[in-house]
Amino acid sequence: MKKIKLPRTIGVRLTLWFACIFITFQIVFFTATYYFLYTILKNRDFNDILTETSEISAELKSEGIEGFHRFVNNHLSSRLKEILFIRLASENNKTLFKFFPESADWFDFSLTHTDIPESGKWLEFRNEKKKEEVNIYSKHIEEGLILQVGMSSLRRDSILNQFKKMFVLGISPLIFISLASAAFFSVKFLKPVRDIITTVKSIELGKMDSRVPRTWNNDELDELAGLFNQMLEKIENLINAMKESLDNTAHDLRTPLTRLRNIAEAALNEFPDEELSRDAHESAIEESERILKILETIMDIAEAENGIMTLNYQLTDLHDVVYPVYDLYSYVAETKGISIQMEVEKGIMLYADSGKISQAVANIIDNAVKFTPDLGQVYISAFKEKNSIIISIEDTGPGIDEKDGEKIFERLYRAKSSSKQKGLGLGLSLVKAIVKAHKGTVTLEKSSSGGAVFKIILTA
Amino acid sequence: MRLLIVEDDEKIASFLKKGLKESGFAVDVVNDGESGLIICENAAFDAAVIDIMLPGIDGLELIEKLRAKKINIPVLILSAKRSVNDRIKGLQGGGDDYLVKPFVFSELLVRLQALIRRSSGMTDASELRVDDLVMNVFKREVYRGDKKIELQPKEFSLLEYFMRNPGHSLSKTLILEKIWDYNFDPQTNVVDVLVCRLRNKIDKDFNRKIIKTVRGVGYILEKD
Repeated sequence: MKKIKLPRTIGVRLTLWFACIFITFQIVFFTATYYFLYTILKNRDFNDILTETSEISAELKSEGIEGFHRFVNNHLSSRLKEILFIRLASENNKTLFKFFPESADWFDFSLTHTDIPESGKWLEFRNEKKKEEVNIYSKHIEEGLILQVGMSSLRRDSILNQFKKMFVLGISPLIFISLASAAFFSVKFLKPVRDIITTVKSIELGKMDSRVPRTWNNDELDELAGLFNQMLEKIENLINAMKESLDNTAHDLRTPLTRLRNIAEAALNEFPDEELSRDAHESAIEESERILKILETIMDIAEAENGIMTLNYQLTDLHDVVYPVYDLYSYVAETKGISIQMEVEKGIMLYADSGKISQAVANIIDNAVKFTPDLGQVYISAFKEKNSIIISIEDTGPGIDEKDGEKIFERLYRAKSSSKQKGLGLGLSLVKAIVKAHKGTVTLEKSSSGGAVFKIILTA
Repeated sequence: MRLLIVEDDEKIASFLKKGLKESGFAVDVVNDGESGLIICENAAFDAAVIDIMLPGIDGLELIEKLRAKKINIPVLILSAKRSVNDRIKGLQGGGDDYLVKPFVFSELLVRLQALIRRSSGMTDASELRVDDLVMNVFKREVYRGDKKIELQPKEFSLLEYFMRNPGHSLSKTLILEKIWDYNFDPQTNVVDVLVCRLRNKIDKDFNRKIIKTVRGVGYILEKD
């Protein structure tokens, strides 16, 4: 016969454990009840023996031997005759009368009086085959007579057997019920766990967007499912972002690498013209410099976007964050004839990675200075408003078209109007990534003069 | 001046060795941390260039071991890791300066010389002279020939930096770091603008232009 092997899942184990405990408890309960019942019934039998003994001895006292005979023959009910044992003996232990049920043919009465039975003593005889027990009580009564009254256990055994039968009949549905209920509960409570397993399996098969269904009943397993989904969400975003940045990086580097290669090839062709190959070498170095710069900016953006940028949070005066950038660009602006103004009060404290924030501010100012025509203005201000710190950079340039609105924060996006300017198209996406890493926002508006207003909004 | 290079990439090591020899240094090269430690215990160097990613004990460990043995030569760390945290880790571990690969050779040279100058306790001269260009750092005066030149503070700092490193090309990164204390690269070349302004003041009216552009590298103040 093939042995059925149950899977060792938590569900099966829980069911079996639950059923085991349930059944053990039933058995313990039954056994206790059985012994309680047994003790009560045995006590009742003993009491009956004592009652019979005192009745018979009273009869003997008042009516003598005849009265005794009459009592045994007429007064004993037929039920009692089936279980009652009576022996009357003389002073020297000689049997004068004996009576025992017909069914008790196994019983050897002589055993009860091998010696003169002591008065008030209980004797017990068992027949293993018939599983019958006889309890005999001996009593010395007046006129030197010895009375022995006993009772078979048949009466109480039939009740106890009934009880046992009931248990055996009852236990099988009980086992079934306990197994079924245990199975029901483990299936019910383990459902979220199985859902998680199903989800993980489908993710392994490449379905990145599968999620664990929620029960929304606020228990621990539902919370686990929720946390698990959050984690999946994060992982999915991270993987997508990494895929995307890898694609972008490959794409961004392809063009300058092609140029680099072309330059080197041209240098080979033009060898040994010293001036041309020197020029090519210089171009090659310039190009590799540009590749490096793209790589660094892309890595900065990717780090900030994917949330793996380590932000070195410090409490810094907002003035000290913005001023160096202003100082840095004031020369550039002056050369272009652009007036650049800064209005930031001292004493506003900002909790952020000040290096990164000033990098973001620098990129916006860079943009503003680049696109503001000569003799224009760039106005930098920073202030605290309610729970926000706002750094605003306004210029008198041509502004940014509505249709370019959000796109300018995308990587490599360069508005048509900007094609004359040098640039990688990465500056503003770095701004957005840095601000986002600080859990802030960056907005773009049109100023009253039609120029662009960039605002970095951070929580104070 | 004797230098030690600990670098496992042979091409980079030989490139460094060649360049530094041409700049007048005696150079020893080892390829791993253990050899670096042994050679440092047995010979005196004026400075060391140590790569971080090394087989066996890495660069940071090597520096820690050197410092533990009270070998206090100035160390320039070379690393492929460019994040601020890596930089901080390198400098806290006992390095004196930090340069990210790929690097511009002239920048490495300038940094190395600055390290050696600092460790040998040389005081910066207060009067600098390159050909007909004279700068008095205390009085903050600059003369080219007989002509006094007025400079704004940043222009003055830039010229001082050039004059302290004549004949060495200075990369834009170096200038940004030195003049503005910036360690990220702004998109527009702020440095170009400042150099351009400086040129207008010290080169425009003279036949010999002393600030030259080195394409793809930076700028150089050329001695005659």
